[in-house]
Amino acid sequence: MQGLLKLKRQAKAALVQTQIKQSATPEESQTAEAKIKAEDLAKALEALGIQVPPGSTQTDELELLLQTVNTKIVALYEPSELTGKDLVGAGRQQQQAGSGWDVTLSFNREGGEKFAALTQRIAGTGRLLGIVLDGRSISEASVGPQFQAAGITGGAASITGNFSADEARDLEVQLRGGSLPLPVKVIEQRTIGATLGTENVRRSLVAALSGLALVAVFMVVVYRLPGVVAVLALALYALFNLAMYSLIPVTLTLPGIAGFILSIGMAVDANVLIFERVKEELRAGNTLIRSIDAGFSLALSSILDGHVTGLISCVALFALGTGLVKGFAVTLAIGLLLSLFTALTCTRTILRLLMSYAGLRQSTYFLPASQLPVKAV
Amino acid sequence: MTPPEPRFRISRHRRTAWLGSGLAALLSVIGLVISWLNPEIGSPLKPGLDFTGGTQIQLERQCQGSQCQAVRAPEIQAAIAKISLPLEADQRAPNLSNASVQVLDQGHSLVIRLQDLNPTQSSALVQQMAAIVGPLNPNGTSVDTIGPTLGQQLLKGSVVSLVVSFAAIAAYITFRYDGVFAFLALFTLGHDVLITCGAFAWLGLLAGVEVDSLFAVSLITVAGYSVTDTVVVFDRIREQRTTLAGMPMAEQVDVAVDATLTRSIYTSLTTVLPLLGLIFFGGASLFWFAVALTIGIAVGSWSSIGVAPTLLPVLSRPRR
Repeated sequence: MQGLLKLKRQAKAALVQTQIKQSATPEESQTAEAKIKAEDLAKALEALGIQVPPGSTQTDELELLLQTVNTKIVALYEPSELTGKDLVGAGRQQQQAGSGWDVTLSFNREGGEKFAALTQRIAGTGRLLGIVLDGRSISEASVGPQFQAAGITGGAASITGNFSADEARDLEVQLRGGSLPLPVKVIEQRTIGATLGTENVRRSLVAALSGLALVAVFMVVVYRLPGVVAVLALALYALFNLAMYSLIPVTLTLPGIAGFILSIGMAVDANVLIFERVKEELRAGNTLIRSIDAGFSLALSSILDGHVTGLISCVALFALGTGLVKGFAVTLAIGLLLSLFTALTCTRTILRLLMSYAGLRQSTYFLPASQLPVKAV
Repeated sequence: MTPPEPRFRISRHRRTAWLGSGLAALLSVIGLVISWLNPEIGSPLKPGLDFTGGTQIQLERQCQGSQCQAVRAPEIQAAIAKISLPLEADQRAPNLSNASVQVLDQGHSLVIRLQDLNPTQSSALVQQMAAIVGPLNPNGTSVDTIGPTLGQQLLKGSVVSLVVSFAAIAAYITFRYDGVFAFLALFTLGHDVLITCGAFAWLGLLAGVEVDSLFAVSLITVAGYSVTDTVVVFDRIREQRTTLAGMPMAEQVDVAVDATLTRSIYTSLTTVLPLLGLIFFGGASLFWFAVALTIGIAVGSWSSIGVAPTLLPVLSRPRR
């Protein structure tokens, strides 16, 4: 193992040297310290059983050697339970002292536990931890003796290797690419839910709630008694919504909040539609109880159409959409179903209940007297 | 029972309504095209980090818990915008004014997301950050390359799901009303979304406002709102068809719009009130989201009064 690693380092350094030399002055290739002598190279190639194609340059041979060494190293590792699936992120950071860079790793919880157990086992023993991608070893690291007690815990680790900035970046990209089942560029879990700071959320919440309070005031001023009923029904509606969110584990992402806002708008709209209808019937000279019943039944079809079109798009968005759109569809669908329910049952029941008290059965609780038709008698 | 004489006749103002909407739509298209042709932007709307991806830098300040001097994200953001970074040959200066700053753990650490930086630039930025927020703990510094939140794939999936949902809505409206209604509902939906996009194209050109994934969400919300708003007016027209059968279509539309006018205005008002709260008193991160929704809902309620109903007599004339 150690022999192979030494060979790998030599070959790598020599390769870099030759490449630099080739681009600059091809004649002066004698001074390199890390240069492998021709006979050593041939010996190493032979020992590994590599057939060198005739007419290949030293660079080709070195590359071939490096590749084979990388695959050979893999065979020496004990297979590990920790796979790229457990890796959630990779990054790079500048070293505290010196100009080198370290590469950082972070694991999910399961991966973190596996990693801690693994590192505890090999800490201080001089055994190496390898990072294997596509059957080739891309990096090897040892675990310092200070981790003998518990292993590297916390689900994060860094590889200290005096990497240059570009090397660190390469390794980071390789790790990141390897951590996903497919080499895709999209990394979604990084940003969702983290775009809002706590301070921001609190301010936004206060702002939105004060807006809703204004809506409540508006409803009471414009619709009088039914306005109060609507505010009650809407409070119930909000309560039901929160209950649903805790029953169905919905993560309240911003798209989700947008869906909730839209559904509140539709819930208020349902009440507005009903009460406008009631007012119309009253203006036309109908009695209060008849107006209320007519208001509910006439508003039903438009409320239904609005909600059904909304639900149709929710189904399509949920079935076909991705992350962002799905969250929106779920909260909107919950909101629409609940709003349909509260507007047609809660508002109606509370209003009927109130109408059973004779003292409240007065048209002027619904409409200013000036808008009521003059009683013909 | 004779129908009440409408107090407000939308059909009398229909030319003005069409002119206004047409002008707004034209301005929107012009804004989108100018933005597209602009070499600095190169797309109809100025894409933010969510669409382009970039670099994420996490910093840890060298202080403990409550000893940390308070830092505020907007101030740091303003300071970052003034930083100049080393450039490689023929490279345009990275735009740092769109950096998003997030303060974590009561100011103990910071997350900065900005456009793609090369390693030299990111370490230069980290050094300059020390001057802004005080000494940093070099162990806590990490630089990541982040992909776009809304990559091509995701965007395509969302668009497909939207198209399918529109088709389903059109089928439902055709079934409950008829084809002309369905066409008009989708037409006004396009109108509302176009004008909202146009407004943001101009905001991007004039004020450098970028669209992010929240903007995409607000567009979906506007689309949903637009359809509902239009359907309510259509429902009224259909309901009156039997009682007002003798009247010309334009008259029927006038009666329906007049009857639903109060509701249309009240509903948009009650929806916009919480949004206005967000605009004036909410945090910075939801500001443009609330602006987009407010514009979209205002336009949506306008088009359900002035555009969809007035086009109905024109399109359904042959059937009377």
